[in-house]
Amino acid sequence: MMLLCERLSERLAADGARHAAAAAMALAVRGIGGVDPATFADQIGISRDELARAEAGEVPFDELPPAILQSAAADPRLDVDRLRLAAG
Amino acid sequence: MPVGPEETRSMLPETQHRLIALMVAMSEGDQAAVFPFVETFGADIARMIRHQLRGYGRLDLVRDDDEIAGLVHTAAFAILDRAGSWDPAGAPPWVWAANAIRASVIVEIGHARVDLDDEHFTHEPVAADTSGGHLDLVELASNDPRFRLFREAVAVATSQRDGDVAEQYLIQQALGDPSPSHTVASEFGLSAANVRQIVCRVRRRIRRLQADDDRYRDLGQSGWLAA
Repeated sequence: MMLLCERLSERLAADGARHAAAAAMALAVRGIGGVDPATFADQIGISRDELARAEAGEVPFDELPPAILQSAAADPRLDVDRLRLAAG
Repeated sequence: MPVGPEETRSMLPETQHRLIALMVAMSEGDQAAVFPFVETFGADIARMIRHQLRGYGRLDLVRDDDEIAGLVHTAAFAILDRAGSWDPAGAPPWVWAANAIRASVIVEIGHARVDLDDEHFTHEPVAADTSGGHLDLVELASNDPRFRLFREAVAVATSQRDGDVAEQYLIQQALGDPSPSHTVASEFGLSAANVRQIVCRVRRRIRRLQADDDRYRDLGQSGWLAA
């Protein structure tokens, strides 16, 4: 999952996402959870707009909603520190 | 060589329902769906890719699980990009998109791979850039015992060229390069896919070294070694 997340990050960066690593991580967390954006936003207690902005690469890594970072950190298949490094 | 059911409807109903839901999500632009798609159907995609690679005579890649994993990701993105055209009444996506997958795989594996022989490969160390534009690896290794251990493990586990590629990848990643494989590919005259394959190979060999040699256990499951 981590390598797939990094591949997605590269793909998003190529598509012009400003914060591609952050977006890839947000997408990975929701994707692994297997839920749609509205359900996931409700589950972790953030607004749908916050989630949409994060997934669109509009939010710097360290400004991601803490709930997204916590969800990623709780998944052993994802490495938040490595993604943070990639985010610069 | 069977590559799975030729019609989606011949799958188990639950599997079929799951596949259709993921393909609908991807067709609507939900890139998050690629994660459960790979998790659920990665083995089917891998079977298709191995079938194709055998057709090219690339048995070296067929047997390499890391290479296959990377190619499964490539295929998944090829499917993601075409999800809107998929017909659930037809073949499963990896069969339906076999031509697109084949094209992506060929781009990914590039030319026939010939491992460089070190004696034919002149390694000229890059002089340290005191302007601050480049990291001095020797200085970094001397100041950070963990990085020194990591460099030692790289030197033991792999060829100099692979080690150089992997180290540069790590450094670019640490510097926040959003596409380290492309940057390093340009530097070494490789394709980005080659770089990713080399990094996978180096990671795998270091993990094996860790299992075999206690001295390298301290590297732990550092983030860079995670698959």
